[in-house]
Amino acid sequence: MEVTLITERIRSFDKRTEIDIKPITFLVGENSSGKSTLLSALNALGEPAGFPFNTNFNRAPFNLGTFSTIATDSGGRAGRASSFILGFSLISGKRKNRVVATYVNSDGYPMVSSVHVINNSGSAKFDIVKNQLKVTFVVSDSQHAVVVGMPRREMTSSSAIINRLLQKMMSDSKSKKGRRRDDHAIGSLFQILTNGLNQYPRTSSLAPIRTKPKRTYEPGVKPYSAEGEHIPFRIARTFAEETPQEQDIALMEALSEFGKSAGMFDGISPRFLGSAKLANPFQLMVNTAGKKAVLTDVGYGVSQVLPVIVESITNKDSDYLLLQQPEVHLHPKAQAALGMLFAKLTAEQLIHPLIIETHSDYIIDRVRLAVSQGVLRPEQVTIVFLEKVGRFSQAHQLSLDDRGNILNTPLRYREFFMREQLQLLQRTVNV
Amino acid sequence: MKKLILDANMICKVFGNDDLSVSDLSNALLIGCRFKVAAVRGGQLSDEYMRIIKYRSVYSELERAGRMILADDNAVRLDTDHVAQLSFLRSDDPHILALARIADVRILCSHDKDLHADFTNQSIIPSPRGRIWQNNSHSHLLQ
Repeated sequence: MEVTLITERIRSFDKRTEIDIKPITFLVGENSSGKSTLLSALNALGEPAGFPFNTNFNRAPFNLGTFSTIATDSGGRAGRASSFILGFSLISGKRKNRVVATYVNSDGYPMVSSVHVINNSGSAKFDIVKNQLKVTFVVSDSQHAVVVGMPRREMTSSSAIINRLLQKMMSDSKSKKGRRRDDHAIGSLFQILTNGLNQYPRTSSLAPIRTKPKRTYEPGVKPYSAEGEHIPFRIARTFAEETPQEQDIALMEALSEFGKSAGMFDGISPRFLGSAKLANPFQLMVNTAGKKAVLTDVGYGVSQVLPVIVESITNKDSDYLLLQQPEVHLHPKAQAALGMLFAKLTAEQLIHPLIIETHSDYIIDRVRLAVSQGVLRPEQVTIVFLEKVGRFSQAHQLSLDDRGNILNTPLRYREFFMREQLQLLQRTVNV
Repeated sequence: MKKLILDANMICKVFGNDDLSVSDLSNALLIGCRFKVAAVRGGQLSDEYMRIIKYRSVYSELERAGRMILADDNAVRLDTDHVAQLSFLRSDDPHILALARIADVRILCSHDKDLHADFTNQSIIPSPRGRIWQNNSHSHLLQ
């Protein structure tokens, strides 16, 4: 599945910005350059039953705020944009689907004003004005239009809107001649909308600050949380399996491989405080050089990286995993190990595509190395460099070649890093 | 992005960043100023670069910035052997000529006259003809 994120006039991205998402997509750039904005946009797109009619722009762990904090403020006379755009295009095999929505200000909150859907079945455009929904659609080169009265409060999901539209069209069709032609149009619109609005990139996210480790966890099932509160429970369940599944084995192996390469631990396992395993409280034990210690008694980096690895491998509910700074609390050696783990798991198709906001050169370097070693194909990786130009952001999508070289870099790319390096070098030369 | 080969004998001058006669190239490579250029390394030239220890960290940073590109090392070394056997070769730098051929580079930054002659010899480096950059007066080549 190939997905492109589409934004326009969202926060500092004033112009149309289209980002092609790859199996590993890095978002890099200075603070406030727009990395989190793009992740937030993807996160908003990826909520089930949300986009485009009931988009949650504040889906945890992100918070884009209200219309006035989302729409681009160009300053001066131009002021704040009166609308903004969010959408995606998706190609999966022969299926193509593009959904682009425009949002306007409604009592301070973003409200959808139009949605354009284009896919293999045809194209349809929704225009919403007050309590009226107008749909114009094209099927086999002929244009149709239908207008439905529908209170805004009922436009809560794509399925509610599709149902209302079809009801209206079918009742219209019954009341007039030429029903066969109408039936065809109804069927075609149904295809366009169900294909268009039900195929979207589902996303899950992990926050940059993960939950604190606990000495003991009470038994039970924790729902997914962006801070990773559910992770210890997922690990416990994985290890409690009498006959581990392929995914369980992959997780155990990944934890062990990462821990050893990072020099952090040899393995992670739960200690159930009773014979009934999952019915009892448990501790997470970190095995290092033959000794086991409780998670709270080892370095903080272990508890912070566990959600990243576990969620990458075990998440079943999403197509994409959004990671904010997975390197937090990790030594560069561990960051490098994490980069290689991402590369290997991606190559083995054991994880969903990752969109990683990072400041870690070590993670990116290892992924480049993996490309040069043939572990990954260059087209599986992209680096999106976000550059702040005045008050606006520009996205530069960089690619790799098969030796891990970074291509198409813009002028001034990494100027700060080189200046730092040269200053240090100059100091050495002077000494 | 213009690709070029920076001869090892120019490294200190360009990366030292204090020789004004080569400042266009220094600024373009080191901080990405004005010209979009990338220095290509590979084969024996990589070995020569690595022997200039104090600039190793700069090479890594240049690679991260996409302004130093690693060519196919094996292919360069193989072609170096081939170029070295050419009877009309004037310089003792077949590795640089091979690098240019393999990585499709047509700009050389070097002060070696014999190498200039070989680099612009179309029997060694076929069309388009190789060009020589020695100082800022040649900066049109970086456009």
